Amino acid sequence: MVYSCYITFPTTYFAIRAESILKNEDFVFKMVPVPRSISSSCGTALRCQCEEITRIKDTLIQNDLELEGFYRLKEEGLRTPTVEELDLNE
Amino acid sequence: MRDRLFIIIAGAVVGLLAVVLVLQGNPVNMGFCIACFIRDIAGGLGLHRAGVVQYIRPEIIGLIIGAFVTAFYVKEFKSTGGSSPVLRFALGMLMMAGALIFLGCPLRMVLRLAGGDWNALVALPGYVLGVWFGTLFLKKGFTLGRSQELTPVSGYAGPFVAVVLLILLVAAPAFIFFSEEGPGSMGAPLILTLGAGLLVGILAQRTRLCTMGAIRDIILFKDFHLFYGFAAIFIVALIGNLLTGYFNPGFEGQPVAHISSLWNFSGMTVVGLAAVLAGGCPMRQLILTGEGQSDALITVFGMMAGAAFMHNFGLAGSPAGVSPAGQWIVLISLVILAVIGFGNSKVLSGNK
Repeated sequence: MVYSCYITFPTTYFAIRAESILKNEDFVFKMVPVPRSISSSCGTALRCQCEEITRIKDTLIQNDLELEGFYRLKEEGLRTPTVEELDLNE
Repeated sequence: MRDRLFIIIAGAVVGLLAVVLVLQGNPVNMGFCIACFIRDIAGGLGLHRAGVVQYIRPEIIGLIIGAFVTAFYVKEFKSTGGSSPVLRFALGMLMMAGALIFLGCPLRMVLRLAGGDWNALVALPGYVLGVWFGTLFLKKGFTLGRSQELTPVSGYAGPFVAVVLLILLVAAPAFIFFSEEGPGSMGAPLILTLGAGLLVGILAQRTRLCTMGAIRDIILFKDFHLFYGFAAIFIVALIGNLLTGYFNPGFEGQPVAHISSLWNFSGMTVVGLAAVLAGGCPMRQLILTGEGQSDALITVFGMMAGAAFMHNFGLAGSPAGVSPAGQWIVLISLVILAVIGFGNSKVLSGNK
């Protein structure tokens, strides 16, 4: 059983900027297509470790990025992942 | 893992169906071609009078309805729209213009490649180049603006149009055109073509199969997820063509194709760039239409208008090649796409 966290963006532009900002930090992350279980749209999401998602969010917001949503997925092999939307707003 | 398996299955099914549809009567290397089929529908409705490409293709109807029923069932149907409709219409027209210069949408490019048509091998790097141009705009903040939630009536418009087309096809009133010769006269039986469209509509809605996204995600993020689907289409269609004797390698004498490499290449550059700016390849636009996105339906209408424009003015490519006027259309399309790209990129246009 694996937990991963995802941040989605309103447009690809913000996803690209997020990647370039985080490259200079020591977070573990990867840009991936938005998981199918989160959305049927075809945008790009940032996958990260759940322990780091709040700090990543803060870093991105400090850089004036617009973010759309935060999710935690429980992925188990071929089963449908369980999606939990996270509320990270203070 | 799960998502990857599904998209490979979806791609494999598309590849397989494409081979079966050709065996059952569709034009060669045209088991599926979204641009060609939308062009045929435009002809069937009499929007253009190119007698050899007029037929209300059931595959297109099936794709929209398949995506609609699936999206509705899994509660992903959402009526949205209002994001730069005029520009989306224009992008649809330009996407069709480029496709009718090359003679095929990106999906048919893959199928032509799988049939040994090396002209498609020339077009592929052109397509990649177009997508790459598009990613440059994305990096500069390109967006057509957010879409808004609309009343359900707008969302149902796409599936409604598909049903009307089906009625016109089956009832075949006198004002609907059916080609008596040429590619438009060739088609597998209705039950097969409609069924294939429905099945691909369902699979593509579940997996987001997209021939543009496949290339875009590699260029932007080195992500190969969508590419697996793209590759599966090619591999299965290639195997199918080899087994059924439809693999005929070469440049010359290929079905519904010409050998003008420059225009095969640049036609697909137009398609690639337009698809990035429109947010999806022609097939993806049909799926989004089924999901209730009016923005995608407008793009599809743009493609129909583009097909009519290209054929009414003799601009489309043909086995004889691309006319000088058609060549101008490629250049004009690239200029218009650049204007749309610059004008909607935050960093380049100075717009917020």
